[in-house]
Amino acid sequence: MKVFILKYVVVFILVILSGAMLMDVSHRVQRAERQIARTDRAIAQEQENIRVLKAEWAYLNSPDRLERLAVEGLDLSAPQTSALISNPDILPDTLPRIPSPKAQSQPTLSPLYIETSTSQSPSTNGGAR
Amino acid sequence: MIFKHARHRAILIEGERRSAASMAQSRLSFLAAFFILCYFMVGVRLVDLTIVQKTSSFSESQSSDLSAVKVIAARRGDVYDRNGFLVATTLKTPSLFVDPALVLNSEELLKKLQAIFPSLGHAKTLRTLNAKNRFGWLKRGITPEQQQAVLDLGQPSLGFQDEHRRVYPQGDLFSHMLGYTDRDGLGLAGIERGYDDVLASGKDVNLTLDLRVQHLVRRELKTAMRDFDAKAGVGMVMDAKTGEVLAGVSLPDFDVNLVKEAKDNQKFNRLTLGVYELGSMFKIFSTAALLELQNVDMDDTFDARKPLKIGRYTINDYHAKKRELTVPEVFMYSSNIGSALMGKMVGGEALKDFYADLGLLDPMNIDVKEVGRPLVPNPWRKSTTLTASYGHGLATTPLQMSAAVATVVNGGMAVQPTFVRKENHGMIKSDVRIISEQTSERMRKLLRLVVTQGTGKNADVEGYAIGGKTGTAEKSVNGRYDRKKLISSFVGAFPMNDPRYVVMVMVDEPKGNKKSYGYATAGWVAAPAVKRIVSSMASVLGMPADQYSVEDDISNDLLPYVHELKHKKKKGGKSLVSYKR
Repeated sequence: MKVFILKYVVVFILVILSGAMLMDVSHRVQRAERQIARTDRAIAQEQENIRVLKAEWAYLNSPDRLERLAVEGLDLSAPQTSALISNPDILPDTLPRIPSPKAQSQPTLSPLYIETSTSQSPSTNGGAR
Repeated sequence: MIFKHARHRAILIEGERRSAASMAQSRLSFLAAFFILCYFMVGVRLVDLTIVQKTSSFSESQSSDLSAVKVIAARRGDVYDRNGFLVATTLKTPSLFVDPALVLNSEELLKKLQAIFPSLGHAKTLRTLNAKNRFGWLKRGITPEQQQAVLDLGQPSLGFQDEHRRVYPQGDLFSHMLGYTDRDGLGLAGIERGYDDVLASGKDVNLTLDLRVQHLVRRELKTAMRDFDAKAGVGMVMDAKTGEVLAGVSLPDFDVNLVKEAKDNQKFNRLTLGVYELGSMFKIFSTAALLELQNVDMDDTFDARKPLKIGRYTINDYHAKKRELTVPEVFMYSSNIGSALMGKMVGGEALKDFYADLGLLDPMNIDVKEVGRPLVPNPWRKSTTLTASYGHGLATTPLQMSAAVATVVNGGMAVQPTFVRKENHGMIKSDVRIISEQTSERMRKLLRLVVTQGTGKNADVEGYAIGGKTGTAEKSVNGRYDRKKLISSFVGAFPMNDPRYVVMVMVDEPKGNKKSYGYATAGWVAAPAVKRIVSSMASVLGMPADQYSVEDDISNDLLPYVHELKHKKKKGGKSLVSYKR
């Protein structure tokens, strides 16, 4: 008899346990589903934000605007066709002379002298001259 | 099974009443079997509910609270330019509505709303707020900031609904080619209309148009229109071999985001829908017909000494030379008399068929629905053959004209203009031959000659071997030609040795200025615009300027047939990089 009772008790506990586990699992599944739904919504929102940003990026890169900014903020003009060569080997090896401060204020600058080269330290440039 | 099992057990248990024990055992077994069955059914149902049905009903049950995900799938496709720059997209924007039944104080609410939306009309909005129904739009497509401001009002009567809105980040750059949609996302013009079914199914569309080239063509066309105080203009760049349109501009244009505010004059697509008498450009085709169909040499002459009379027409030359002209001379001086005689030599039927083969007499079949029907003289009389040889009385769309020129210069294969990149990325070379390779080569030389020696000198850019033809036509006003109102156009291709691009500029009613010595003809108005377009294009598309020299220019072969040569000045040294200031 004892064996029987023990057996049923064990079975009963197992049933209760499995029931409790089932409840727990189903609860966790529900929670996970809610999480998925939330994440999906967040993804959708993020995708929407990306679209807006892409549209804004395209707007900010519109050639009209870039051209206006380039004219306002840069001292460079559009390249002339004569600057487009197929063989760069024919270019002279040395940099042309950097004009003296007096010459710099005059409207014409020598070719290949670009604004950025002024930021180089004189010592590195000195050798080339 | 159970009985067998029970009996077997019963035998094993000794010292107990056999019959009672076996009875209890079999009852228990029944009960156990019953419960096992029950649990088994519960288990099956559980699997069914959680795994089988859950997955199938998942999307359904989620769609209600995840409408955004569902909506994205049905969203209208984006449009990109040739290099993948965004040109048109669809964004979700909130729209503001009101439930009038919940409005407490309409006057006060209106004041608050007008602080956020200054454009709200007073009377109309008040009517919406006081309406007897339960729904009314107040403002559609508002910004996130405006939405927040409305939320801050804390009015229970106001609500939002997300709507899709077509947004064109490039504004007025692609107006006519791209087109626009109505509020429900139905394509009404341009590619939006021509590819409506593709876009509506959510697929993206890649244009053949190049944002950068489109911009510079538009810029230079605007400059030409401003310089010559013109009414309208058309500019276009096309791949000479594939027919892919890199730039298509029709001015005046409009911001496609603000279609409602555009006037009809702005909305009119002059490139594909407008038909114009483009005048002398037709000499390209009549000359090609002559070279293709008749056995003529370049030194055969045409008598241009006096005006040609046919019926009530008198054909005159604008740049009159008053002598016999060779084929290259007729072409480079754009002699009407010479061309008319050429047309006569080709013959009426043959000339008409030749024009038809080039696609100049029928509406085109292209990616946009706005297609103009060419005006062709009907009936085609004997005099028509003469006048049609220099483009008088024949009106075509500028795009059609450019495609025909591309056909003539690219080696003779028919060109079909396209605005949308196909799956195989532009490898759509035509296999329909219209003219022979040899005729095409002779035409290229003639067209180059126009720019080196003739009426198109102002279009020349050193190193690009541009060839082309000017066309100055008087506009027909109320059935009469008005000498003051011109359409000046230039169609060119470059490099002429093996043309890659066809460039076309048309300016409507230009007025001469000081720089052009009062002239408003094509050579002064359209040719310089083409020159500027080619110069800017070259740097954008990376075409070096030292591939073609003056010494071995293809038009040099024709110089022996030209009798009044002017010496070309050699230009001095040029710097490599040039600067502003």
